[in-house]
Order: sequence, then structure tokens, then C-alpha cells
Amino acid sequence: MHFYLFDSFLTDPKYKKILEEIENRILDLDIGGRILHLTVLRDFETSLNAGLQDKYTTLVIVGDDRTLTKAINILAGQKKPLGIIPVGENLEICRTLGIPEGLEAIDLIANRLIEKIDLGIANKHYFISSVKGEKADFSITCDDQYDIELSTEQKFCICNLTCLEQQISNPHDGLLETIIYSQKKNFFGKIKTKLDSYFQNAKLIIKSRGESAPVIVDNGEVLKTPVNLEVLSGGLSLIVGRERRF
Amino acid sequence: MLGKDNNSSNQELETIIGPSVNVKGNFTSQGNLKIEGSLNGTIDTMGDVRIGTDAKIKANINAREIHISGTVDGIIKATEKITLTSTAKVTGDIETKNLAIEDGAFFSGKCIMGNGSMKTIDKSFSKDNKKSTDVEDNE
Repeated sequence: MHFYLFDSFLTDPKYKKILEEIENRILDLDIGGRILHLTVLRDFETSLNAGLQDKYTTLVIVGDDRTLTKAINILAGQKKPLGIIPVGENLEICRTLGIPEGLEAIDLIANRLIEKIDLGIANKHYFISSVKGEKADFSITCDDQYDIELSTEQKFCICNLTCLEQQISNPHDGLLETIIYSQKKNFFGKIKTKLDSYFQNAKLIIKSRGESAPVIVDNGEVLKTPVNLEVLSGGLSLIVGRERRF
Repeated sequence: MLGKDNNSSNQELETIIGPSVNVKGNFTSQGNLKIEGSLNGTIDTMGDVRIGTDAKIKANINAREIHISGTVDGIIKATEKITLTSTAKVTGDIETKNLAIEDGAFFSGKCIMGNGSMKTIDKSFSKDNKKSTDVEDNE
């Protein structure tokens, strides 16, 4: 039996039609189970933990990338596979996982192609995609062996799955990939990205040489330096699509 | 490097230190290293090291093959080959199986080649000869 959790932002009336279609499709494919819609009165963590009971074979969340990042911080290290039905606007991570939007994602849930992928850990916060920083005098200590010093003009992205456009990392290698790059606008106002440096490490510490600086985790959560990074190998069992980009 | 490759054992690991990046400390790796910036410390890798024209390295280097076009101050050891191009400036000792130096390269230090044996020339006088020259191997 499956456990479906619909994120609270889906209570917006504009999602009413797609949610009805999703629930009907779930019944059509005979992969029904318990369906829970989050509201302001229901806590995400408590609701998702209810899905960890043995009677449920699969947890499915319905929402966007933010829903996924909230879920992995609760489910990291759990063996039960997690499925996603992407609905909403912020869906870049879901696309990288090869999961199409809306109704097509339900077919993937039925097909049940499961992959164990690495999760990154940033100061006890789990992330699936990347950690980014810019506009500060950052230094990054790699594997407790050497330090990389960046200038204020440089940006960095530390990837577990994906960071910059078209740059896909390997989420099975137990490593984090650090890309240092700069961006400038050309004459036509288009942003041009220039890749500068590339490192692969299992453990990183992000510091700033001046005041504590912010870094952004999975395009959402903000942490302040120092930030300790490492990898939880195979930390998440995920139902993915054949069109996944890794 | 980045890309669609699930088989990490076949993926060649390459680290790139770009022109405006400064690295300090002991760099160890299984794969190749390309340096365009600066590094202060040590480099120890089972792969190859490529040092660009504008790179400034103050480190001892151990690698399989080392290709130098920039400035290096340190002891350089390669199990296979060291190449100094015309823009290379190397201060320090070199130890390698094979060595190639282009016209224009600057090198100041000792050089040990082959299997590491060092040949010296010892001028000594024998009983029968007023002057003789012996070559002895110091292993």
C-alpha cells in the first residue's frame, strides 16, 4: 500500500483540477493507499513520519523541489523508497531525476524504478542537489588536507546532483564536486558563465575569511559559514525516471 | 568530470586549479591535475600533472608524468616522464625515468635519471698509468 502526502501549497484553488486528476489516476493504476493533504494544522514532519509505518511499501510526496528537500531531511537514511509527483513551478531537481510533471509521474510510481542516491550533509542539514555561495571571501578546506581560496568576484557550487545549467554530477560516487566559476554580462545583457576550477572531495569545510557569509542549500535553505559538508552514500532510495540526467 | 556517467570506476578524475585560484596545503589524488593558478604545499598523485604557463607552484611534486610550462620551486619526481616546455622555470631537483627539455626552458637543480642511479667521475692515479679515469656507480 502507498502513502501519499500532498504539500500545503497545493491547497491553492489553481491546483484543484490537477489534484483531482492525480487522485483519479492513482486509482486507475491500482496504486492507491492513504492520501493526506497538508494544511496549516498538519505538521509536515509528523505527517511524513506516519508514512514510515510498515504497512506502507512506498512513500509518495506531491509537490515541488522544496517539498522534496523537506522530505529528504526527514527520510535520510531510511530504506523505504520515496516517489515524487511534481506539481508547481520550482521543479529543476525533479527534472534532473527524470521525473515528469503531473500525471506522467504516476506511471513512474507504478513502474517503480528505484535508485539509491547519495545525499549531501551541510551542518546536519541534508541536501540532494547543491550548495552555492558568492560575493564573499570564501575559503574551502578539502578533505582536511588543503585549502582553496576564492576571490570576491568568484562563485562556487558544490554539487551532489546538479548545480549550474547543464552540469550534472554523479550522485553515486560518494564525492562532492566543487566548481568555481565567474559570471559576467555580455554586451547584449546575457549572462556568460566561465568555469574556472574543479575539485572532487568527500569532505569540505566552507569558511569565509571575513564575516560569516551565507551559503544557499538546494536553492532554498540558507546557512551561515562555517559549513561542514560530507556525503551520506546511498542515503536515499528514490523512484526515478528513465529520462534521468545522471 | 561532470557528465552522465554512472560508472565512477571508469571516469577519469581530473582536478583543475584555475588561473585565479590559490591552493594551500597537501594535495593528494588518484587522478590527473591541471594547474593554471597557484599552489603552495605538496602534490602527490598517481596520475599526471600539467602546469600551465601562468601557474606558480611552490611545492614538491610526485606524479606519473609531469608537464611544466609555468614556474615551479620544489623537488619534482615522476615515475615516467617530465617535460619542460620553453616557458618553464624550474628551481629544484628533478628525478624521472625520461626527461624532455625544450629550448628556452629554465632549470636550476640536480637531475637524476633512469632507475635513479647516479654516475660520478672519479679521477685517480693507478700504478701503471700516470692518469686514469674511473666511472663508478653510486647506488
